[in-house]
Amino acid sequence: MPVYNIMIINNAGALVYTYTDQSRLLSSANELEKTYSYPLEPVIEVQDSRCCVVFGEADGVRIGHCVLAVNGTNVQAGRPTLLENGQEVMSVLANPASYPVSIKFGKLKLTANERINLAGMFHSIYAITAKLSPVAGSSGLQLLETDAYRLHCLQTVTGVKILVITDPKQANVNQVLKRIYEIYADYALKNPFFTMQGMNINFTLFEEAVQSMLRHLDKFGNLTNLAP
Amino acid sequence: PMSHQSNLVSSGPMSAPTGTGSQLAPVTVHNVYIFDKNGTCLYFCEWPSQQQQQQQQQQQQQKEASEHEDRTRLMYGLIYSIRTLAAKLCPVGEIKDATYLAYVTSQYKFHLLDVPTGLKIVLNTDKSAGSMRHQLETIYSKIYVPYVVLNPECNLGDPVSSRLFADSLTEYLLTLQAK
Repeated sequence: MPVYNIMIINNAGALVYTYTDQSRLLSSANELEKTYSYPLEPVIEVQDSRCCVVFGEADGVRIGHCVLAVNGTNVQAGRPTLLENGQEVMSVLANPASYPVSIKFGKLKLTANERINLAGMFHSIYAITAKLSPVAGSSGLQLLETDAYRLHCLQTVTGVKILVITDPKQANVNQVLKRIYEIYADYALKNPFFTMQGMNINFTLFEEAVQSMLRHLDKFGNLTNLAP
Repeated sequence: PMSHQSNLVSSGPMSAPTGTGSQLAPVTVHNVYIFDKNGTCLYFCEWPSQQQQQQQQQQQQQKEASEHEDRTRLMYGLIYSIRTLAAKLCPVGEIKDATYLAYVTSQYKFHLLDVPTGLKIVLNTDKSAGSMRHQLETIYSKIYVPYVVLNPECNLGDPVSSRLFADSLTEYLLTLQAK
């Protein structure tokens, strides 16, 4: 699938639609398990209500890696500072009696709340980037480039932002952004059951249109002959 | 005042050939910021285009100092939030090289180099610039380190007042535009 993520943010900054490519979700290739004896080499602290490595990168364990499991017991899905058996991760790691301990590190999936927060953050960042322009009359950020992915943003005339996260080498993303805007206009805005008060877009036809667009993009690499 | 009035916008940035051997396409640099890891703005310099210079001369410049401080604070806030956003949104595990980040708007391109000590160098160029990672690294290693870090008169954490640094930075950025 060519597109990792699609998000639509309404003009108030609220996230109204998310699509995540399930086939490219973080695989277990990004996780690693290591055994440690007391005292623990990597310094682990609670950040954003999850236990992360903040110091002491070694052997593939890097800063930002989160604790996914301790001694085989996974962390709870909703509360990553607790293990499934009810114990707190930090107290298990602070107790010398639990050593040697094997810890599985990896990256935790973004929760829905975090996505909503990030969308709000992006909404403000867009406004700030327009304001900080050294040249007058700039728009906000339209393309964010990193080594691992690219984030494209289309702001419509009504202030709705359409975000697409793709591979850095993906071409024709402008067509994708415009097509998503068309789908939004046809299947969400013209839908009599759609309200503008920050409601999530949850319409079957909308989803089908997005899927069909993604399949077309996957097969042909562009959207020039997409059937309306 | 920190801003230079010298005009560094080259006359024909699009006319030079691109990528021939070691020649790079000329890039128009709008301004440079350097922040330390605590968010203090250590250096700022801008090269407004001719249109902007005329506009600035027409407007009054009474609130220049406080506006500058507001702008640097806003810029640091932006740097911090955009790095957090970029790290969290990463769909494939983690970004292998999280030290360089760039974004493009309709009028300018923003480049950020985050050095392992926490120093952040920001460059705002025109839209058509490619990756300025190498140039930012050169600014750090060949200009900032020799003239500021290795300078016994410059205290780290204080804004840079070294004239040598300012001149060599301006000279280097001129070479980027002249080709």
